[in-house]
Amino acid sequence: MRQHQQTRLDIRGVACRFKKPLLLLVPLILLILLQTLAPAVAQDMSEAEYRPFPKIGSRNAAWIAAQLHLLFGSFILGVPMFAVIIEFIGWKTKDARYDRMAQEFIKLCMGAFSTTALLGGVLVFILIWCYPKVMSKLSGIFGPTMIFYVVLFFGETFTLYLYSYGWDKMQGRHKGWHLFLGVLLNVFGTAIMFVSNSWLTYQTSPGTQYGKLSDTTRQSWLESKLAQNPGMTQTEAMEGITDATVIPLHNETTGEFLATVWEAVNNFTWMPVNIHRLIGNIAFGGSIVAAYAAFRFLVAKTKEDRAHYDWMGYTGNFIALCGLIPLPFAGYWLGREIYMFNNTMGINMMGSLFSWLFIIQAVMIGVLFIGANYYLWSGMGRIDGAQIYARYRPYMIAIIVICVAIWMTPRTLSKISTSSELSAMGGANHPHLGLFGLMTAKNTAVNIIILTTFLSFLFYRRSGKSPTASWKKVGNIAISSIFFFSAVSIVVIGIVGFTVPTDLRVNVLTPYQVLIALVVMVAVTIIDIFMYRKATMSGTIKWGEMTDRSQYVLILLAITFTSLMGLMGYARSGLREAWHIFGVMQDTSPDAFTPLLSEAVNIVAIIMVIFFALVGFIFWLGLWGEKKKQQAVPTEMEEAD
Amino acid sequence: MSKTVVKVASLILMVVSFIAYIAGVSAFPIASENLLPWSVWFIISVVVNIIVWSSVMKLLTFSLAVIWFYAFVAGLVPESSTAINLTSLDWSDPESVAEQGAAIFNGKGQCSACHTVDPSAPKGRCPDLTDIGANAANRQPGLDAKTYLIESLYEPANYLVPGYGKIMPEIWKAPIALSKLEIEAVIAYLQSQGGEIDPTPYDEPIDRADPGTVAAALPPLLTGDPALGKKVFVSAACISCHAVKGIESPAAGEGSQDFEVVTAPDLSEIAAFNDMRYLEESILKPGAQIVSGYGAVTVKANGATFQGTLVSQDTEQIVVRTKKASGEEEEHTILLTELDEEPIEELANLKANGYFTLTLTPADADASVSGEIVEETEDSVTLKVGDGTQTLSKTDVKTLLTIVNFDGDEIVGSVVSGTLDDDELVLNVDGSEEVIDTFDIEDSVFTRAFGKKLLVTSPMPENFPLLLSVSDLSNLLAFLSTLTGAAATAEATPADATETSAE
Amino acid sequence: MKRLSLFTTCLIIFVGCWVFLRFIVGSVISVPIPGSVVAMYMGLILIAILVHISVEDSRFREFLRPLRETLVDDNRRVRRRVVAVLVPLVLLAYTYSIFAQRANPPGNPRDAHPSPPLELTYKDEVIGKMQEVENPFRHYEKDEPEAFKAHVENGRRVYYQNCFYCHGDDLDGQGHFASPLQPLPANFQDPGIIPNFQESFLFWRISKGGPGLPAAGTPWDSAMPIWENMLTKDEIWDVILFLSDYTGYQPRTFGEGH
Repeated sequence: MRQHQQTRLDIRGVACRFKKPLLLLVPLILLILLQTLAPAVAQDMSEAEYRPFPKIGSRNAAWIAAQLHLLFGSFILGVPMFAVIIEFIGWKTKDARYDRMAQEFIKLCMGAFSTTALLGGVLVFILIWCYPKVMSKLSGIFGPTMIFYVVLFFGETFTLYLYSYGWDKMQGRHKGWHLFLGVLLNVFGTAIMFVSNSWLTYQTSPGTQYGKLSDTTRQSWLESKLAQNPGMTQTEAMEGITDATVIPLHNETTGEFLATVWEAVNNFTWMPVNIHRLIGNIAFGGSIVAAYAAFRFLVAKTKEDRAHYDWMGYTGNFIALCGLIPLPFAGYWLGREIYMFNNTMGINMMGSLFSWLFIIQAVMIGVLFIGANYYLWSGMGRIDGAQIYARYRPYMIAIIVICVAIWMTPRTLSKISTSSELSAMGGANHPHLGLFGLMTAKNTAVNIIILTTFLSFLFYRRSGKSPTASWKKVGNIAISSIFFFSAVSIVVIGIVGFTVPTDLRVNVLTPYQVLIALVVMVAVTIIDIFMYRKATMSGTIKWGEMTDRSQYVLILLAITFTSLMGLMGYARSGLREAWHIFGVMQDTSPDAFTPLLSEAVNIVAIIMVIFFALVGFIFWLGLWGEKKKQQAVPTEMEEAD
Repeated sequence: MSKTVVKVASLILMVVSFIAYIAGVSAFPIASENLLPWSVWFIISVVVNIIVWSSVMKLLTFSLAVIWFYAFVAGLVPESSTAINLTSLDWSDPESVAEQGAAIFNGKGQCSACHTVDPSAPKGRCPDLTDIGANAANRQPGLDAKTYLIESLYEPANYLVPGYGKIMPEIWKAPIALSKLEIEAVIAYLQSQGGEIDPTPYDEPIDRADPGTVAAALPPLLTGDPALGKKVFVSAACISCHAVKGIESPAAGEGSQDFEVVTAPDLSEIAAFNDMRYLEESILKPGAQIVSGYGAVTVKANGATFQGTLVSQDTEQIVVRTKKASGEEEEHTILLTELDEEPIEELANLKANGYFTLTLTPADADASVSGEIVEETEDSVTLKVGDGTQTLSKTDVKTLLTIVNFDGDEIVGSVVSGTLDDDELVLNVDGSEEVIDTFDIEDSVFTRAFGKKLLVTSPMPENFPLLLSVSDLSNLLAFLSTLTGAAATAEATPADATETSAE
Repeated sequence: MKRLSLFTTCLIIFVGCWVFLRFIVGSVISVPIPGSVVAMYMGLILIAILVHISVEDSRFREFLRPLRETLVDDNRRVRRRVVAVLVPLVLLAYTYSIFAQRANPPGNPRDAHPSPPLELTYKDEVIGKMQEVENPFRHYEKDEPEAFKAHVENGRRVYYQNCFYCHGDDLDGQGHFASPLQPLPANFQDPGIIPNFQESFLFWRISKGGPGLPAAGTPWDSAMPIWENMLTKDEIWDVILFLSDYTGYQPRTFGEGH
């Protein structure tokens, strides 16, 4: 118990290191200045289209700065989300450990916050310097949102300070208000992300569905269309236009912006990207916390420390898993919207230019799911009575690995086969494995992986407990049959998917598969909660008795997650190909080409090294403060001994 | 102590190999072969680091290894790039541009596969380019050095250095597909060979946007089984003329009797220098491109006929190797001026038929005009007469008619009136008009002009499209594509090869 | 009989999987799987085995026991020596096999799905945006089944006069001229071909043929002629109707709304 007290004191030590909020304001002011000045400055300099960035080139410079900014942005968005959830759990369960952990991470956030602002400033500098014309065009359209962004930034900054410094003061009676501050912080953070998402999604998809347009925009679009096609009547122009038709927000010949700011913000891919990133941030925040815990676990000297950080890693990984499970669904929606916006872009993404990127993505997601399951299975080793579930493990491993294999199998094998293999296959597609390359097989595989992971988690939850409910037998049969029949129906739908028109598959069958998986998870969770409500404990969780290997897995998960974000950043940005704003403003710089996957991943690797070096530095600052505090309180140390 | 050394050394090796891998640095060169690639060094150092270091360092090593692993997996994916490797040329420093050009000359452009830049080197497939910067101005009259180089790079077939065949591909088309900037850099490099680099910009003499010019119009490539192709190579008697290392050639006369055994190019390393399309074309249309030193010619000089292999050719003379019935070979050096003028019946496709000089008499003139053929169109021909040129119509020429009657007498004269279809025909023979009875003509030949002829043909039979079935041909091509020679393949891994052909 | 050690069991499973993929699936049940794909699968199987044995400490120790014994135990000297000889020999054989494969030319780097241009054209006439163009006769399917049938019949005629030689009489890409072509003619019976593309995409591929393929992903060696030089616009649309009618696959469409 004393050890815990000490840890709490140590955290105060960390807090001491961040007692200079004015220091943090410096980069913030820099950023705000740049944000407000950007439109004016960009206008002035618009006669130059591009300026080269020395040595590494404009694109690489902007790429590295943007990706680092985004990763730190995710950190200060994901970690507070994690903290608020954990604080809430702590408040409700009255378990002080949760509260302490949440506070520890908010302290770490402070350092990351200033880094984010600094990187944002650097990014704006590079963009204005290297791409003045693009920035001028974008700020011309999005001027009002940039002011809104600054206001939000102020809001987030001060809420973070209040939330962080008010932590100890607001314990007890004011805890509810403190939680409200935390939620507010996340609202601000999410809003900031939404605003900046609008800029970059607009670059990818500068169009909206006809039904979403205002009357004035419809009118100006019609006028521009009639002006472009002399001799066309109004009825002819409106022919075939339904509410779902994609309407470009620009005059297609002059590139003049026709719509309102809101319509530009609410462009085709804005919401899918928002949701995708929001869920991704929850998972990212959790995995970063878990990695930090793993690092502390591995360097920990005492048994108590190991127990604490083991528990922290478990909680972080749990939140990450909660985010990871719905993430493929959100990604699927985003991909579908891209296809709807522009078929060519969709084919480019899934079938042509970026198709191999999705094989690498499959490798990474495979690592994520295998790793997450590995961690859960390892965790069952610290619970007495969990051994009964071990006999299912080989089958679960087999299912996951087979599904990952299906997901990783490329449709077109011509690039990785020799000519004799190609002639044996009779073409670029293998007659049987080629079926694995189609989306319906891959969707089925993902859903099965998700269900299996959920099953692992269910086993973990049940470990060491015996239900006392009278209907436990019926319940178990119900749960088993739910799993069995849902898996069978997902596979059957997947097989049917090979034979139906794509439109039907994309809009009906695949959503059904997703729905089945989600319903199973909800239903089973509810049954399970009721079944185990008054369960007797046959074994306790021995926190700290984890293998080192499982901790390495947590670090592997965090790095994989971050690399995945970097890779998908390349995909999202690269989809535009040689356009700054797709179909409106062409990239005429020397960097207009799409880099090779290997070159892109090399840049991502460089970004990863810089990111983890910076994050490591921030973590080390926390550790350093702790050590200093320990030296400062020798009396407590003696007592503890 | 020694453990500390190992620790530090492996740490340094890990960081260095990581950076070198990401930056794409080539492995340690040892002689001509490369030592282990950086990926292997990185793996070794990671393993050593994980063994020798303790917790924190172990963790960092692990993290770096994970990051590297994803870069490595992505690097395994074979891909074609839309990248323009050269993004700008710094003309303020022409020497550096020439250096970039040299890299393209020896690398992506694959120029050095055929061209040498060393006067002492044995004669290559294509002209030696030593001092090309200075010589370029003298190659083709009327073209300055830069214009000549531009023409040679974009449209290599327009002017051929005497003695060399039409084998240079259009390098701006796939598979080599150099960009304009890259060609500019190559020109700068060529100019730097004995000349001044001229940075003036130029317009490309081609239309890159036209897909018809870019896409190759040849029939598609075929796939086949190399082992079966080897059998075809022997059974179709290719081996009678073409040598391939590792296949024993039957002695002359022992092979198929259908073909005359001639000297043909050694094919042992053919696939290292030529793409499949070239091989395919060479089988189906043997005459399309003839490797210098292997063409067949029939020339008449000083009244004698020489039939054999054209060994070499320059602006003044040719060397023809003939073979007597006894098998004895003889080389004849023939001055171009010694060639006999041959009568020409039809004034069409003169150049394609090998004529390089022409003598004709225009209809409204008495004296004949004679000179080298400079340019030829459908109905006119331009000759180089003295220092100037003269363009003559192909139709308005005095035609000589040679008539042989049933008595065996030969009458030669220009037609004054009448045609062969009339009852009577009036000829002007040596100034006096003669009336000829057209029913008394056994044979007649029109002669519209005379010209010296040097026609190089391929000695390879042209009946392969009929002789070989489609699967034979695809097998044969598959076999030929394996003939890369040991030295050429050792450096390029399959992945490299994929990438090069993609660019 | 002595029980097999965990290590041996894993080794047998691993080798067994390889034999299964390489020979049983790859030759008996189906056509050979490319070596690179087998390597990928084997990597996953290795990971699966490692996951299984390393989750629990006790099992991990048991797995490592034979390795440790071989390396340090005195009474395992013979085995140690055999391993010391075998490992370099295996590496040598591997290196040899790589070098011995040199004669095998690599496959062509070619994308399966070329990206279409943004605009659909016939000769030089712009028909519309690739995204929006629809088959002008498709609506007959609902409106006038008779007219639709006539268009399909016309498409059948066009197909058997022009396409049949390569794409085959069953539309399966196995026409008389197909076997030596590389890439092989498209197999329209494959569920991955027609349902994945809009009719405008099919129109683009038919009208522009092999030479009209985009520059990215070159070299393209498709033998497909430029059909717009031979067929009218309507004939191309008709033949597309025929393709989907015959195979039963609907070309991809994008439904209204979400």
